[in-house]
Amino acid sequence: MKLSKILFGLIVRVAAILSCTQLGMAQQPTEDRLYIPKHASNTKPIPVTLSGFSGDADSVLRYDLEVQGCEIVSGDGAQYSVSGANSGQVQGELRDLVTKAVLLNNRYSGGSLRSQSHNLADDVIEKITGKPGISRYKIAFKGQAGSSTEIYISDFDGFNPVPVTRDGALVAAPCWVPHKRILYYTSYKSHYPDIYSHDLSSGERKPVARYPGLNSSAAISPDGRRVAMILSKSGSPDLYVADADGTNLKQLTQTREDESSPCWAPDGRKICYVSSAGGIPGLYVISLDGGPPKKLRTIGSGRASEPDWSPDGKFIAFTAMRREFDICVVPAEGGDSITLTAGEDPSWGVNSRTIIFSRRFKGKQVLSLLDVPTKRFKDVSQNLGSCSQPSWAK
Amino acid sequence: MKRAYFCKFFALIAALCFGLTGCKKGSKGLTPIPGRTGNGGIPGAQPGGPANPGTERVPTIPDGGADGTKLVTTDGRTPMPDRYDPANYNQDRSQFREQTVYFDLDKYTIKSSEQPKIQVVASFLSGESKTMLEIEGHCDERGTAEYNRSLGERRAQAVREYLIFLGIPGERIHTISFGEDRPANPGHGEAAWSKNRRGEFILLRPKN
Repeated sequence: MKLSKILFGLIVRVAAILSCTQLGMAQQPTEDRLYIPKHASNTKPIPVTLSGFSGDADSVLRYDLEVQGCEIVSGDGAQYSVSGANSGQVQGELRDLVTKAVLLNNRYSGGSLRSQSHNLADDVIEKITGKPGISRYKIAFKGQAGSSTEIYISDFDGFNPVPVTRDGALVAAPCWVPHKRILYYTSYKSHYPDIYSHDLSSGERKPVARYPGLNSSAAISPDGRRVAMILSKSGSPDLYVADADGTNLKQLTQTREDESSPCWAPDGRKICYVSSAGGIPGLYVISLDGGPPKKLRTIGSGRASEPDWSPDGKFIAFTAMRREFDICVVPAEGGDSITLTAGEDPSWGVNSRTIIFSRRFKGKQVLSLLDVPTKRFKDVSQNLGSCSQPSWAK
Repeated sequence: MKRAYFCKFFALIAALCFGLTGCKKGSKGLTPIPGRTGNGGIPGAQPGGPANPGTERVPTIPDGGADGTKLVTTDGRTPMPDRYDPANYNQDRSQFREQTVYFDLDKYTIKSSEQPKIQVVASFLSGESKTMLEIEGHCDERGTAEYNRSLGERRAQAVREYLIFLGIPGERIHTISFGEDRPANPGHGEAAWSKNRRGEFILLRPKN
């Protein structure tokens, strides 16, 4: 697992410019590039050939397979082939080129061409890796449109963005309720920073925390019943937990310093968060069963922030606030941190392998998908001014 | 009552010694701050109590002094007052434009160079008893978004603590954090960052 910390981006052009029209809305031409850090990794991508598809189906498959650890190659050295067609509906076959076995032959109906293609990509990934694909899970993020910021949701590749808020107020830190179409986020629409829950199906929005001072950084427990958040009503930003509707509030930290960015362990018994109580910001883990918080050692990465616990419980991804920001991972029990790439605010996909994060590029923030084992990343499609604080539905 | 006042005074001094100078070493009679006393940096290790056994603990201050002000808790923090209704107040951003307080990276301690500015604000407020104050906390871009939102709030609250120390009732002083969302200078580099790590004063004048 020893990997170089210094990454120089080597840009490899793997596909032509995408352009497509979806639901009558013109999507901006996207730079569909795969970024491969120079000192890449000991985990090599899986070489796959792709043939028979065109237009959206071809670009979706290419994108989905590459962000999930495959590399589309022309033929030599390929381990698998994905072939098929998309006339009317998407049909595809996955073949193991070593054993010559056909692993998959599926035809898809309903939905859009893009969603059919995402389904084929996820099925291919599940056959190759043994783990479910992640391309059908939505993302939420903070997007800038003109001078205002709003919460948006979109497909995981950035297509089909839909604004969730239209308040013209500052917003921050969207977070999905697991397995539900409900978002929690911070909005300044009342003048003050408050936490709201927002049911995307009914459109109903309810305040969850609006105490004097700061209410921010909501994180929903894996069972959806509890919310961790940062409140400053007692005179300093501290970590609290409450029932999902904001009742039954309990204060977990009482420090003079500021806490921020809680996230839950997948068993729902522990919370990892940021505190400056040690003099510089670092990660701490507190158990809901009681006992004092413990500092999480992130060797090689001081000024740690924005933790996110992997769904399999093994790793915590976080942002190292160095001269620039870097995405890092550390074992959940602490230890040596591994720097993955420049960026901030990581959010794990359900596969505990792909991370969505934001990075600064040409004066704005763009969302990008990172395949952790190979350390390769691809930007998502984006036609808003600046996008940040991604949260991946689970 | 005398005892209560003494306790209140004592706690204030203790809180300010730490909060305003950022001294790291505990001294006799000073509230030990969890995480800065050599216990491995564990925040809130013992909620409501000192982290170091054997160190003197500052007496608890009951809520609400003679002036009705909630002052400091044992760990030097000042609970926030109920919110005001923005519809009932005019926001005056110009009155204290020259008094913007600047901070060091990652810090909420108030530097000695900034204290006279807060004294100017306190002196104005004590002569205008119907006004209230909102303190905006801001950060530079070298922290992540939510880290900065919390740090900005803590900065605003540190300024509030100093105003309370100077005699302004806590009920009149509100805080709001914008993190890095509203930089004073949109540039990149220390010249811009040093102007963005700040606390701004907004005077709230009742509309009627």
